[in-house]
Amino acid sequence: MNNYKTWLRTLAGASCVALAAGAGATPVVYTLRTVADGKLGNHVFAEALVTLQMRGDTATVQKQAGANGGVLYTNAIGTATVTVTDGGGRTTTANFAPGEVYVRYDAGSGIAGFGSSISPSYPVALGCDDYSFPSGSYTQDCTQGDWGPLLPSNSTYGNGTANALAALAYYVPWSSASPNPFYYYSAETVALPTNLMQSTLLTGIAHFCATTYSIGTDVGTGDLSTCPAAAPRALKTDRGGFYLQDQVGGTLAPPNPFGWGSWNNANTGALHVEVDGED
Amino acid sequence: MNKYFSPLRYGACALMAAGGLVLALPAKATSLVYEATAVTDIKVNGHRYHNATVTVSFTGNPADVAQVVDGSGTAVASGASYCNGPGYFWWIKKGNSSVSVTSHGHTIVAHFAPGQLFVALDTCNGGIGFGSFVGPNGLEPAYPLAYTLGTAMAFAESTPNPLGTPAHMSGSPWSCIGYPPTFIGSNGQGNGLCVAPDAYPLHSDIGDVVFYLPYTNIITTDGSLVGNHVGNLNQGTFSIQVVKDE
Repeated sequence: MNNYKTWLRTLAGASCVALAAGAGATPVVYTLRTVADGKLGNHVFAEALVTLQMRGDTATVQKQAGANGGVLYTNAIGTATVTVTDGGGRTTTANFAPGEVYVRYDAGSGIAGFGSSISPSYPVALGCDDYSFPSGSYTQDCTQGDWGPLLPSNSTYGNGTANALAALAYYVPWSSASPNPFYYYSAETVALPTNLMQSTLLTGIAHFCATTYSIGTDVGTGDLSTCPAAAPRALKTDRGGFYLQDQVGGTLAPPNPFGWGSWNNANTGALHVEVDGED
Repeated sequence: MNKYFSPLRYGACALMAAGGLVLALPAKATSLVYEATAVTDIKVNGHRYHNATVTVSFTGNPADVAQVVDGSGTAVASGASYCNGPGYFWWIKKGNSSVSVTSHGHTIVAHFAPGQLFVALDTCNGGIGFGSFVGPNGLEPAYPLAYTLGTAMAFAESTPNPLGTPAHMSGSPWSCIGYPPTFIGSNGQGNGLCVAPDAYPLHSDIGDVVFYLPYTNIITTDGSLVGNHVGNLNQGTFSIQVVKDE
């Protein structure tokens, strides 16, 4: 009998441990929507709707120190798909081979998207610096956010919530030494969680380049132009190899009378983190 | 990013000045579906959804793409010296519209009552999306969901017949009653604030629908938006596609 009670106590204790673990393990869906150029299988597409999605669990989110301060979050465990709808309305959904892509959010830099073994910012990164950074030694794309913290950079205006939240963390508390004291955001923006374990929305101008962008003309929003080279290999899917290669980047110069163009008119995207049971 | 810049700039005033006359574009009769998708806050039949995936759809005919003209049939001017003349505002008023709202895998679809939404285009300032006949003035060019910046802005400004051309684009989605909210050069007097939308619901078959603008750049002293383009931090997609079943 005593042995039976001991077993029950042990079982109850084990259940508590399991419940505690379960409390930190919640299904999560990461969905990134954008418009991009690339290839899926034999199908080449230009300016197509592209949706990358990964279903996983918050328990497998990894944390490490970010290169620009803050925390770098990744989640590599889950099932990932890509859906492409081209200009003709043709829609194709492909399943990535396991381990081909992962979700990445560098909260300190304000960069969010899907990475791979090819590059942490490829196939998609939102919020990257649109200038060649570091100047004179630009050998890898997306090593800081468009807002900075180092020059050359832009303000956070128009480059999404990911940059805004990083700038906010960097510059608060405010001081007269802050290089740009004009970073203020709505209460809803400030309330957005800055990790991959809670529901949030991370938006920004999109980069799609496995290598580095070519350098173009800077009209005040960035000197990067287009992605001149395809990735060295395809990302494997059940519908063939998948590539993204930005053919728009900072090249558009619409005839508005303000002189606006370049990265003001680049493609943008949104990474939606939806955790079960959270709004 | 330039700070103070105004998209769809004179859209509201210009559209309000428009009479019933239109100049129809020559176009094929094939229907097009216009779709805007963004993650945002929305209220349907009294229930507010936070960070829902919202897709507004409007099925119309490119033969109904019309230039906005005044009561005498003259194309409405932008009112701005920088656009060098009239003829920058276009719309489609005839069509069926709906909104789908997906939150945590559950989707509801609301079909808007006829005559509330229109497809809106400002070729001068680079605005494209959905306007509506709501608000204190009865007409809004950027509510419930219209885009500035991004490739959407370039498409609106550069394409010969934007509303008749199938394409996908991305940009910053606005849900603003009272657009443009900030001052417009020397021509506007906006206070930087959009009008609270709850008093002006759109009507649908499953109840009233209200769109919000949650993620914004503000001027901290009064909470007003920093600009008519860059005041919004959200990003979304807009598509024009041929209706497949025709």
